[in-house]
Amino acid sequence: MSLKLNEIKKSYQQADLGIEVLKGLKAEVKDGEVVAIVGQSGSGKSTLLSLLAGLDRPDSGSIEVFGSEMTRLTEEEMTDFRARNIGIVFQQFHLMNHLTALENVMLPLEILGENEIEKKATEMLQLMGLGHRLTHFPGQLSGGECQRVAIARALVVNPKILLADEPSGNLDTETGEKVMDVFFDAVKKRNMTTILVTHSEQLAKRCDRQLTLKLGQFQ
Amino acid sequence: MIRWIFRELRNNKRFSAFFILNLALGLTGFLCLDAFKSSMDAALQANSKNFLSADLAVESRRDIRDDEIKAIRGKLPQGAQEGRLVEFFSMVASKGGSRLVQVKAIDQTYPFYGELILGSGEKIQSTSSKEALQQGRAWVYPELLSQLKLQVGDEISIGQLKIPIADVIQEDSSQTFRLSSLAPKIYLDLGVAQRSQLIQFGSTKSDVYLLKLPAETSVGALMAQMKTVVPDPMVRFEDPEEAGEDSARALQYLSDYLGLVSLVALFLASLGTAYLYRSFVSQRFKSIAILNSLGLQRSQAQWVYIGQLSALGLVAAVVSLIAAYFLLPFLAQILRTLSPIDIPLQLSLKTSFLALLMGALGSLIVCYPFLFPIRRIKLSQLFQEESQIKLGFRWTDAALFLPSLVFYYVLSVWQANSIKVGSVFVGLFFASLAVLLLIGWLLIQALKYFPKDLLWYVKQSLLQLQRRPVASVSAVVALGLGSLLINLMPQLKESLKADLESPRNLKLPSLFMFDIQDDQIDPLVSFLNERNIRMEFKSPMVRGRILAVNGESYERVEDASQIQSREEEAEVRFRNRGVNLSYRDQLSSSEEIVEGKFYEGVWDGNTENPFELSVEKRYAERLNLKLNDILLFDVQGVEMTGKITSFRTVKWNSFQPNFFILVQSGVLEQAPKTFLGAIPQMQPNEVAQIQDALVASFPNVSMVDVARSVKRIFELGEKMTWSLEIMAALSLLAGFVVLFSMAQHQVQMRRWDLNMLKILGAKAGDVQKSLLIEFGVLGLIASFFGVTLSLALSLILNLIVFDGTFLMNWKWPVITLISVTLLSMCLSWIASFRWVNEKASVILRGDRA
Ligand SMILES: Nc1ncnc2c1ncn2[C@@H]1O[C@H](COP(=O)(O)OP(=O)(O)O)[C@@H](O)[C@H]1O
Ligand SMILES: [Mg+2]
Repeated sequence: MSLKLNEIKKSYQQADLGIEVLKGLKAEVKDGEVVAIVGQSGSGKSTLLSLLAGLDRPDSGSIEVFGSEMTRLTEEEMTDFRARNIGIVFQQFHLMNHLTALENVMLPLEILGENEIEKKATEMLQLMGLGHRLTHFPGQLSGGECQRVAIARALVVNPKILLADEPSGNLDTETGEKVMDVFFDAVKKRNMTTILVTHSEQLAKRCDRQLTLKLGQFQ
Repeated sequence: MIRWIFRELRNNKRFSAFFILNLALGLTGFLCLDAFKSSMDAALQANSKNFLSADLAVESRRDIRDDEIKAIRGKLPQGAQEGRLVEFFSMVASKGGSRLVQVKAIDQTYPFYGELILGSGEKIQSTSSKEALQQGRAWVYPELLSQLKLQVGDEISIGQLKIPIADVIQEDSSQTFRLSSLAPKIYLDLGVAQRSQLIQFGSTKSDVYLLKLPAETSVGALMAQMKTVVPDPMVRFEDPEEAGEDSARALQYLSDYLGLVSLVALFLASLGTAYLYRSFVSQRFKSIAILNSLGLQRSQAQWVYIGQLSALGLVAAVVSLIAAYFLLPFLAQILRTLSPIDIPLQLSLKTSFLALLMGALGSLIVCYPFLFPIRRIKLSQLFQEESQIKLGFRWTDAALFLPSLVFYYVLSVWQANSIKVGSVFVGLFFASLAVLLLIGWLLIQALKYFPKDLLWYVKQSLLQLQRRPVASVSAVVALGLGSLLINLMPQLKESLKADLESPRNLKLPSLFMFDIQDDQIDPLVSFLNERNIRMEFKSPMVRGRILAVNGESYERVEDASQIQSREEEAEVRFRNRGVNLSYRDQLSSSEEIVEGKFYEGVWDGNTENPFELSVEKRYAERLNLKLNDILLFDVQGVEMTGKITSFRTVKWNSFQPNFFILVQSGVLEQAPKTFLGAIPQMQPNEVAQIQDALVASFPNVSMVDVARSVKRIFELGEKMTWSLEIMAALSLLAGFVVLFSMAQHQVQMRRWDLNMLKILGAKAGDVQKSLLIEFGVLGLIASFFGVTLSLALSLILNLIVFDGTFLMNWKWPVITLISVTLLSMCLSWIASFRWVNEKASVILRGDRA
C-alpha cells in the first residue's frame, strides 16, 4: 500500500466563518496505481493535493506514505521526504524563468546534492522529447514544452509518488493530449503511484481508478 | 477613465507607495536646497544695504586722492550723506601675546545701515554715540579675547598706542554670511587712528568712502557717472547688491555644489522610479490589449497612463513638500553653525510650484520611454498562450531617453549657476555612470564562468544576477554612485589636509610676514640674525596694474547684464584688481618653469627693449596671456612695458611669498615697495616669543602664524564640507531606496520561484541565504567600484585640479565596502523574509492569489 488516507479533515478560515473543505476523507492507493481525482472547482482537490504533498497539514486524521506517517514528521523532515519521494506537476508549470530547461530539471538534483546531475537531467528531457530544447529558456518554449519540462523536473529525482494538479489545464486540447501521452507513458513505464487531479472526463478514464470529491467526501 | 486610473493604483498599492517614496526622496533633497537658496537670496536682498552699510561705497587699496573726492562730491545729489572708513591689517600686542587683526577705523556716521550689537546689549547705529571709540578705546570681536585670554577692560596695543577694550561685538550686520575670516576684527575711531599714525604707507589697507543717498536716487546711474570722473580702475565703486554677492560668495559656492550633489540624489531617485515603472507597465500590457479589444484606442490608453504618472508625480511632490517643511528647521539649525546668520528657511511659492512641476513633468520624462512601446501592442498577442505580453526592445527606444538627458543637463547648469561647472559635472557624472554600467555589465557577464560545483544556493544567486541584467546593473549603478559620493568627500579632504599641513618636499615656515617697509628690511634681518634666526624668502612687492596687453587696452567690463555666471563675475573683478609685482634672480623652491625660459641678468633701462616677465601659469590662463605677449603696466603712476618670456607653476600652499608676475631685475628697484618674508619652522612657544618680540620692535609688520592658519582653514573647510557630506549621505540613501524597491519587486516577482524551491526540497534558510548572497554580491560589486571610482576621481582632482598630493585613505573605502554590502543584505532580508517563510502550499492556489 503506497498511500493511505484516514479521516482527513481540513477547514479554512474565510472572513469570519470557517469552512470545512475536507470532511473526513478515507482512501487507499496501491503501489503503481494511477488514480484520478475529479470534482467541481472549489471542491477541495488542490487542498487535498497540498496535504498529500506535505505542503500543509490536515486538522485531523493521518496520511501514510509507504508506511510512514506523514503528519508526524517535522517541517524539515517533511521537506526532505517530499523532495525525495514526491514529485509535483502544476497547472501553471512554475518553471524558473531565468533558468534554461536543462537547469530547471537539474535544480531538484542540485538541491538534494546528487551526482551526475547534468547527465540525469539531459536523459530525462530527452525522454520527454525535448533533447533539442536543453538550453532554451521557458520564455522561448511553447506551453506544451514547458509542461513537459515541468514533468521532467518532477520525475528526475525518481519519486515514489507523482502528484499532478490539472497538468493540462493551461493547454489547448491537442497539446494537452500530447503532453498527457508523455505523462502516462512515463508513469506507467516506471510503475509510479500517481494522483492526477483533473476535471476532464477523458483523462480520468485513462486512469486506473476515479475518485470524485464532492461536499468534502469521496463519493 | 479617471476612476480607472485610481482603481489601478489602488490595486497596486505597493508599487504606488514605492514610486512615490522614491521620487519624493529625490525631490526632498532638491527642495530643501532650493528653499535654502531662495531664502538666502531673499535674506541677501533684504540685508544688502547692511553688508555695505551704505547705498554706495567708493573703495581703493590706495588713498583716495582729494581731487577724486572732489569729483565724486560734484556728482552727489542733494541730501546725500558721506562717511569714511579705513580698513587695514595690523598686529596687536597684549599681555596674552600678539595677534594679527583687521582694524576697521570708522567715523561718527558709521554704519548708515545695519548695526553693531555690543556685549552690553547696546545697539550701535549711525546716529548712536561712539564716545568709547573717540576716547581711544576699541570694540573687538569676541575671538580676539579668547585667543589672547583677555577681558573687556584689558589693554591691547598697536605700535605705541595703548587701546583699552571697551566692549565686544556680538553681532556685526556687515559680516552676515561671511564665514569667519582669519584675523579677528577690531573697531577704532578713524580720527584716533589717523592722529596716532596707525595707518602707514605700504600697509595692506583699503580706503573707503561710504555714501547714503536720498531714497529716489538711482544708484546705478550715479555709479556710472562717477566712473567717468574717476576713471582709475584702482578705485572701485560698489553697490549693496555687489557687496551682498561678495559676502555670500562662499555660501553661494557651497550651495551651488550642494545643488549638484542633490542632483545625484535626484538622478538615483529617478532611476528607482524608472525601474519600478518599467516593471509596472510591462505587467499592464495585457490589460491594455484587453482594453484595446474593447474599443479603447492605444493612444487613449497612453493618455490614461500619462495621467496616472502625473498624478503619482504630483503626490510625490506633495509628500516631498511636507517632508521638506519638517526638515527645514533642522537645516536652519545646521546653517547657524556655519555663519552667524538667522536665515529663516521657508518654502516659497516658487519652490512649491517647482516641486509640483518637477514631480509631474519629471516623472513623465523619466517614465515615458517605458510607456511608449504601448503603441506596439498587437491585439493578436491576446490569443497567444503566454500570460504576459512582451514587447521587444528596439534601439530607437533609446532615443526616448534623450529628453531625460537634456532635462538633467539643464537642471545641472541651473543648479551650478554656471555652464562650465554644470557641464563638467554632467560629463563626470555620465562618465562615472558609463563606467559603472560597463563594469556592472561585464562583471555580470563574467559570472557565467563561475565554477560548476558551487553549493546550489550560491549558484542560484549568481545565476539570478546574471540572468536579470537590468535589475542587477541598475542596482550596481544606484549603490555605486552612492558609494562614490559618500567616499569622495573624506578622500578629498584627507589629501587636501595632508597637502596643506606639509606640502610635498617643502617645509612650511612658522611665520609669514608682510607689510615690511623698505627701510625696515635691513634692521629686521639683523634683528633676526641676533637671535640666530634666518629670514627666508625675502621678497619685495610693488603694486601695479595691467593697462594693456599687446597694445589693446584692458578695459573694465561694466555692463553687468553681460555677466552670465558666477565665474564670469569673479573674472571681471579679478581683472580689474591690481596685481602685485616682485623681482628675484632665482626661482624659489615652490616654483617651477613650465614654458619658456626664466629671465637672466639685469634689464638695461636705456634700450628700447621691454624687460622680461615670468607669469604664473594659471593666472596667465585666466587672463588669456600667451608667451611673448607685451604687457603695459602702470606702477604707481609710471608706465612701463614688459614681455612674457616664461610661465611658472607655484605651490601656493607652501606659504612662501609668491607672485603672479615676476619682473626682471633692474626694473622695480626704485619703485616704492614693501617686503614679504618668512621665518623657518620652530617650536610653537618659540614662534609666539619671536612674534611678540617682533611686534614690539616692528609694530607695523603684519605676521601670520602659519600653523594656526592652516588649522583655522581646516576648521572652516570641515564646516563647509559637512553639509556636502550630508547631501552625499542622502544620495546613498536614495541608492538604498532604489535597491530596496528593487528587492521588493524582485522577491514579489519570484514568489512562485521561491515556493517552488521549497517544494523541490530546499530549506527556507537556504532560500534566504540564496537571496542574501545575491544582494550581498550586488552590494559588494557596487560599493567596490563606487569606492574605486571615488579614489580615481579624487586622485585626478587632487593631482590635477588642486595640484597637490594624493593620500590614500583606507578607512573610508573599507567602511563603505563593508557597510554597503551588509546594508544591502539587510534590506533584501527585510524585503524578502515574509515571502521566504510563507507556506509553499500557496503555489497550488497560485492562479487566484
Ligand atoms: N489557504 C486558504 N485559505 C482560505 N480558503 C482556502 C484556502 N485554500 C483553499 N481555500 C478554499 O477552499 C476551497 C477549496 O479550494 P481548492 O482546494 O483550491 O479547490 P479546487 O482545487 O478543487 O478548485 C475553496 O472554497 C477555496 O476558496
Ligand atoms: Mg485547484
